[in-house]
Amino acid sequence: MSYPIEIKNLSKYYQWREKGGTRHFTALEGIDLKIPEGEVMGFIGGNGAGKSTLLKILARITPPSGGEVKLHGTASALLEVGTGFHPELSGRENVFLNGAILGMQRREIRQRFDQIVAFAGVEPFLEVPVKRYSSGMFVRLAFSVAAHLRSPILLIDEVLAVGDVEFQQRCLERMREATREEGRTVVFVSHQLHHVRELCQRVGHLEAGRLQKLGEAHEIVDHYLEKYTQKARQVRLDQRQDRRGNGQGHFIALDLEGKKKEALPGPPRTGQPALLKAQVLTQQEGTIDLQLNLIHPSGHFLTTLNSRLTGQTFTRAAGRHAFTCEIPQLPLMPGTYHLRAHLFLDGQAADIVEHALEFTVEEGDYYHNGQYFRKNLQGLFIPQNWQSL
Amino acid sequence: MAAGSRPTIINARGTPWQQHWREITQRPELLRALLRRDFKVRYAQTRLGTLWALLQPLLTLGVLYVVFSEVLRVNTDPLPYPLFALSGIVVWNYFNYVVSQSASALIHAQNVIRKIYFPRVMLGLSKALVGSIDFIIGTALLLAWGLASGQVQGQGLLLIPLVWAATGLAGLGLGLGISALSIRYRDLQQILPFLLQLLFFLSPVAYGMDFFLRFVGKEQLALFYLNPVSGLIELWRSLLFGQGIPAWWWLSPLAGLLLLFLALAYFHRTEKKLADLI
Repeated sequence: MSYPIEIKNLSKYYQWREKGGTRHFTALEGIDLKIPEGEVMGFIGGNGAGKSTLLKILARITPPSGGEVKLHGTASALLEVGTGFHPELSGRENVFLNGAILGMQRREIRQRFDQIVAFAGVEPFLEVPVKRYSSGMFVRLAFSVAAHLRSPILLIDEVLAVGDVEFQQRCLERMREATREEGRTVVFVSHQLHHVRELCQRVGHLEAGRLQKLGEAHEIVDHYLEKYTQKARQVRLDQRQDRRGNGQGHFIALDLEGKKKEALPGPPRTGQPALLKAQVLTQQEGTIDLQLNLIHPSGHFLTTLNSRLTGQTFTRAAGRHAFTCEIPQLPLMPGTYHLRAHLFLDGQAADIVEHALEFTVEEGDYYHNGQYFRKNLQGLFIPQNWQSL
Repeated sequence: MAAGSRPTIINARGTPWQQHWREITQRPELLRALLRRDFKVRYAQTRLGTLWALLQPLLTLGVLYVVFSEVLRVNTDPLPYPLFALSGIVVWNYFNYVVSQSASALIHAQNVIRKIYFPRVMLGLSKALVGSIDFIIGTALLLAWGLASGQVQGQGLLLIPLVWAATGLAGLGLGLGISALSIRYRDLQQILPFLLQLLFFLSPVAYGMDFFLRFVGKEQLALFYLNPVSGLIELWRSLLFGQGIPAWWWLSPLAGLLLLFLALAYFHRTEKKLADLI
């Protein structure tokens, strides 16, 4: 078996000067790995675990501090969709420019031009400067160019998360084709665990720059989810360090409780009213949007509690604020779910916390008739009405 | 790349320059695409488009004519002042464009630099080549004018590409050096316009080298040829108009080449850490 990617004892350290001395940061250490031809290899890990650094080294954007990588064959890196697009140039010109920057020959681009354009669905606007494109059209065209690359080694970072849900599905489909059928070697890095699970054969779990575990995709993702869940249970929401966003505000507390009329709050129960309580602290005056994405135990997105969708944006001064969101009839089947919490201030992502709240839904009577589903499946009940015609 | 060809090695030493050279020569597509972009974008959404390549030197000529010929009475015999100045402007504008564009090439491309690998020298190289289009148009204008007025002598014209190459390389050297230095010292981007303005007055564009004899003795004049453009402009005029070649002119291209080598060496050293620093 041949190994297009051989990684030997790879490390990357950063150091910078600060008041009172030099600071060091270990981004990667002691990575040893061989990736066989035709394999789709995924990397998961929290922020700062070293995923992106590894990819940047493989893509030759930043040099390692020690160790060595051998690449047999041309590698193309897709670290971001639309890099190298020029706003003044037309869609057609940008396809050629971007293709060339990504390493395609002009002849190759010409051959695949129609495919690229058709996939993106921008035929009528080919001669229009891309600065006049909608952001959706832009990312579709950008992804499409990247998706038609033919390099034997492909390095991909989160680029899947573009466009609307339908286009994301097509991207995923395209990725599967590109990786499975054409026998090329792919390194894939993502926060979206279900994408990793779907696309990759093997997965490496990185933590603090070290390869913690390496193995079959499902096994590693499950193990990671479990570990992550335990960690989230132990650390209070306001103490969590693994948050993203501009930091202009953050979540202090989140809770979901079941509500019965004139009774004490208990655990959330299927079919019963539930109340979500959120506390946030903001550093500036502005509009506040809360978006809490409900995540299935497998890591898939299920639905969202979203104040922008319901049109209930709040304008508040800087300070501590409490919000509640009432769910009249909790549609969740019994099981353990979690929330990915997003706080938007003036439309900007201020705080994003993965696994911000984990909660268990108790069994209840959704249709108020004493019937229970009892399949140990987690999903949604929806109102329904049967008739015989 | 065919199977069995040599693998790409990634280690702390960065990409050796031999490999960079291979990558540049093996990927003419990229240079061509960058060129196309820089050319299209240069005159994008202007009414007059490429006509500006003709108008810009003429407008500069207008200003220089009023100031130096009419007001300061600079003597350029036996050449008429407009032809004298225009020949200087064509070389200077080209040099000026290459330096200023390639000096900001890295900073302007920082998003791409953080996400995609390719030899970064190509960013500057593309700017230099796009500037050549203006040089060619300017030279055509100059030749048409010179031939019509009977000032142009034929024999030196074949050497025009030499002046073009030497000017471009000197400009690229200065530009690439500044672009790499300004990754750590952004201040250079602020100083550059003044630096270029200073260099303009130290170059024989609006007046001949004899102008400097008002301030220094004949012996010190050689120092002015350390300016990489001076000797090239002088050589250029003597090729076009058949005047004698000035002593010391060769100091300029020599200084230019030295600058280019130093700049390339520094650029190469900075290049590997670029994405971390920018």
